[in-house]
Amino acid sequence: MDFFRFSRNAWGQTTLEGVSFDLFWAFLGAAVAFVVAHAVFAAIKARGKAKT
Amino acid sequence: MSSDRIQRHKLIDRAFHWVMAACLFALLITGLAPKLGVDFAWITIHWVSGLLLALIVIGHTIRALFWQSVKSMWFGAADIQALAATLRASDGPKPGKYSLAQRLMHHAVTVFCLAAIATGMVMLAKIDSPFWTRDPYLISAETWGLVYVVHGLAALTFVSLIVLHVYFALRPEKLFYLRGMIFGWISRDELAANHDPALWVGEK
Repeated sequence: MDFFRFSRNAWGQTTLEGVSFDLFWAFLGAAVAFVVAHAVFAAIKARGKAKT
Repeated sequence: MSSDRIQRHKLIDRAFHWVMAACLFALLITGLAPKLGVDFAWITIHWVSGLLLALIVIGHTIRALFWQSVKSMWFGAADIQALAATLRASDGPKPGKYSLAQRLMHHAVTVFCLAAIATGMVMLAKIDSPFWTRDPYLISAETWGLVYVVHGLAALTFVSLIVLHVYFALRPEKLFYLRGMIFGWISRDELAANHDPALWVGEK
């Protein structure tokens, strides 16, 4: 997975084009992973509270 | 408003929140979908949404500085204790108008929104509009690359922030905040259970 996009200009020099949009899935995946982890943690905590 | 209800957000603040949400969805869909292979005429929708976002953010900033309490959104030394309690998954001191998580989300949105707006304003130089003529040579190619990196990173961060924001807004124990952002009020019981009324700073 690339972090940045590059191109070559008319003189053959490498130019920074921007951030790689492959990262979209990384940002989306990280947020969904946090949501799942928090939901599981909150459910376990609520079950523990209900028992006590 | 009945006596068992507390006003949490005025109509103007709720309107700002939902117009900002609409702008961000329009910006993310028009900005990211073409990069992910869904191509359509996106540029006009994108820059008009961006300008609208910039205008309402300026309005919100003026209102927050002169009509609302900056203190209610402040993150200070006392919040370290609340942060430690959150990390220990125990109950910390009750917050004022906004919880620690809400303030941190606001600050993250502020930073990335301002970064996206500032770079977006520069990027307007690359398009023609009824108000200006394009000038892609305004800055060097290297600087354009940095502008695009900051704009892209801000956009991608918003993908994460929106997922988290929507998740916490829809959690059962937080639904009263969502109702507050739609209708403007929370109940006195919800206030007592989740906030310290003594720390709740309202309008100036």
